[in-house]
Parts: sequence; structure tokens; C-alpha cells
Amino acid sequence: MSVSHLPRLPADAMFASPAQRRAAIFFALWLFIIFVSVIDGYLVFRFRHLIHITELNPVGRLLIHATGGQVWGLLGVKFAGTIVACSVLLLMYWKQAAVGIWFAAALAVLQLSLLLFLLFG
Amino acid sequence: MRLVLNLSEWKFLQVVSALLSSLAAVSLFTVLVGFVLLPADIKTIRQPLYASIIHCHLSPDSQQAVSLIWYMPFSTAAGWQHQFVRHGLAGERPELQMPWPQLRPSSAAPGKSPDELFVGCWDGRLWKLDLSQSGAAPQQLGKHPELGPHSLACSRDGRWLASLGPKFLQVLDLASGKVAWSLDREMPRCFAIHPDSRRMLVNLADARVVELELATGEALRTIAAPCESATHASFSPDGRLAVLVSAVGGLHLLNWETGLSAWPADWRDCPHQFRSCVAQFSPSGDRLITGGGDTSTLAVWNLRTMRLEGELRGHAKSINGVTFLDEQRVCSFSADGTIRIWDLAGRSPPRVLTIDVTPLAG
Repeated sequence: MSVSHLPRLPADAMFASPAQRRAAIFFALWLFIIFVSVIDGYLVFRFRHLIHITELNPVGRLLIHATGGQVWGLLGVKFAGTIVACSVLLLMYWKQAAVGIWFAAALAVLQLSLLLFLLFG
Repeated sequence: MRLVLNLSEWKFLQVVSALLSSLAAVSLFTVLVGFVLLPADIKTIRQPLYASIIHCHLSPDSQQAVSLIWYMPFSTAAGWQHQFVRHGLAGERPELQMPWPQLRPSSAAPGKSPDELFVGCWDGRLWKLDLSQSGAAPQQLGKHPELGPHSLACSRDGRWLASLGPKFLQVLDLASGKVAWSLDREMPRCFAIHPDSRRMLVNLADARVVELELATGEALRTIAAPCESATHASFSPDGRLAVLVSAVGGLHLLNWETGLSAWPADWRDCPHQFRSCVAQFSPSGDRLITGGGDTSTLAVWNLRTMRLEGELRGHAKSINGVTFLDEQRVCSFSADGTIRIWDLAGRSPPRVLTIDVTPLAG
């Protein structure tokens, strides 16, 4: 039997119900938000010798200055902030899935902008 | 045994599970990103030391220099270290002395006399150093209203000291020791003091270039040519010309009296690269050195002919600034940890001094 004769799966076979599809969309967005945050944190660590010049966020600059040029404070705040934001998203999704997805989508767009800026800006 | 959770317990469990899920996901991605990206960057990350020269102040006889360096030992979590080192200009690796280990300088500017050096520190305090006496204690002048002023300049008459940090521009009256005025609402980006010691130019966040009275901070006029996000400004020694380097592209050479561009009509902004923030007039004002085709090269402009004389190439990393020794010799200092002394007349290869801070960094 050639491959072309394999039975075709329906497009939405992976997600049996709309609820599952919603869940898949939410978690994809949620993971993307985390992924970009981690990449951002890695770049802070990688370029920690230049970050006091390149960091544009005033809070980030303040944290770097306050810790005498070390990036660990900034990284810690980024890490904690990501966890808190993602937890809040999860709680929103569990309480009201549609609202959670919209908020996750909005945040994901912001994170996508940040990723593009980090890579090409 | 109670098997049913009440509402507050259920909510608490939800919060805990949300936090744990997020923590697990962030940790997983951190490990994954580390696995994927670390091998390629490990060599850079494991460098024992990163060192960059931010300022270089030459003695009048050009035999000695005081350099503001910052370095970061990668092997410790000490963060960056800023120090002044005093060194000679002979040899390839001059011996370094650290005469003021108590200071954590963020910026420096020459004073009225060549033996005076003004210093802004990361804690905001402003100091004056007397370079004529070795071991002389720094004299505190005042305080910048925020941390780490990154730009400092003293008026030619030695009366005013201007400091600029992330938000504030402050002018200190050195005669009285008091703050003359400060500016923050309009978000000053960079400034330069006019050689007449009465005026200064300030570039604001809204791209305006304004002329302020140095003694009072009163706005005298707004220059017609706007400049967005200037990173550096400088006046020619006679005060006729002003140059502004913009972070978003552009090298603005202005006739300061008219406020109009002093470049010829057919001039093109080339090879200046917009990320460079170097712009320095020679002592006579006949030459202008700016960033070149990339951040590690310099462009030498002849302001008599308004032509590019050539480019100075050799630094491995971004050039942080230049200082003229005299009309023909210029010293450039860079993030590659070297100082290069160029002979503009002879076109011979530059003399390279490596400021090796490894012994200082421990």
C-alpha cells in the first residue's frame, strides 16, 4: 500500500471537541510567552557585559544599577514575573477559558514583538 | 477524614498548581534554551574578563594618561567594575596604577586646567581629581540627582559643571558649590557646553535641539534642525560649529549661529555608521573625527574642504571615544581594551596600547 492510499485524517481529528481545541490554542500561546521570556533572559545573561547600555526598560536599568551592574537581580525579577504572569493566565483560563485565551493572545503578540525586536531590532 | 474541599481551599490549590505549572514550564524552557544555545556561546561566556575603556584623559605632555575603564570578571558574580587607571603611553602593555580605588566612576570630563579631572560616580556623587599630585584625595563637589551620570562636561572658564544621567541634566556652579539648575521634565538626551561658557546645547527627547543659558537654564532658542535621540554632541573650539550624532542615523554638523546644516549641499551621510557615538573636533577645528563605516572604525573629515580624509581601522570592538594629543595625533579608546594612537599626517600604523586589567581584576 502506498502512502497516498492511507486514509486521511479529518483536519480536527487531533482535537475531538472545541474545548480541547481551545485548550490547545491556549497552551500553545502560553508556552510561546514562556519561550520568549526565557530567550529574553538568556540574552540578558549572554550580553551581561553590555546590558547596562542596551537595556531600554527603565525598570530593568534601575535593577541593574541597584545591583551594582549585576544582572542576577534583573534575571530573578524576569523569572518571577514570568511565573506570576503565566500563573495568572492559567487561573484566568481555568475560570473563564475565552477570557484566558484573549489575554494570552494579547500577551503573545507583545512577546512576539519583543522577540522580533530582540532578534532584528 | 474530610474529603470535600471548601471554596477557599480549592482556590488556594488552583493558585498553587498554576504557580507550579508555570515554574515547571519556565524551568523546562530554561534547560532547553541552555542546551541549544549555550554550546555556541560558551567560549564568549567563559571569557575570564571583559574590559572596555570609556574615557582617556591625557597629561599635557602626552606621556601619561588616566583612563576610565570598566571590566567584568566573568568568573565571579561581582558585576561590572569601574575604575580609573593611571598609565604611561609608552610600550605595548603599560603598567597600571589604581590611584583612586574608592571611586566607582561612571563618567569623566577634563577641567579648566589639564591637571583637573571631574568625575561622576555610580552613586551620583561628583568629584574633582587633582592629577598634578599623585595620591591627592578626590574632592567632592556635589551630587547628581540620580545614579550614574553618564555624561559630564566642564565649561571652558571652569565655572560650571554639567552632568547628565538617564533622566536629569544638572548644572553645578563650581564657584558657589551649589546646583545652579536642573532639567528633567523634557528628558534631555545629550548636551554640549559652548566654548564661550555662557551657553549650552541640549537635545531633548522630542528631538528638539535647544540652546540654554548655562547660568540659569533659560531657553534662548530652538535650533531649526531637529535631531532624534542624539547620543553625543560637541562644539568646535571656536564655537561656530556643533556636531550631533544621532542614535537613529545621522551626523548633524550645524552652523551654530544660524542653526542650519554646515555640510555641503551634496554631502551624503557616509560612511558614518549610526550606532557610533564618536564626534570630536581637532584643537584647531580643522578636522572632525566621527564614527566610520562601522562602530570600530573612525572617519576623519577635513572641515576646510568638507571632504572625508580617510578612515582609521584597527579596533576590534566599538570605539568609545577619541582624544586629540595635538593636531596630527589622535588617541582612540575602545571596548576591545586597547588605546590606539594614530598619526593623521604620516598614515603610519597606529601604536597600540593594551590596557590589561587582569591583575587588577584578580
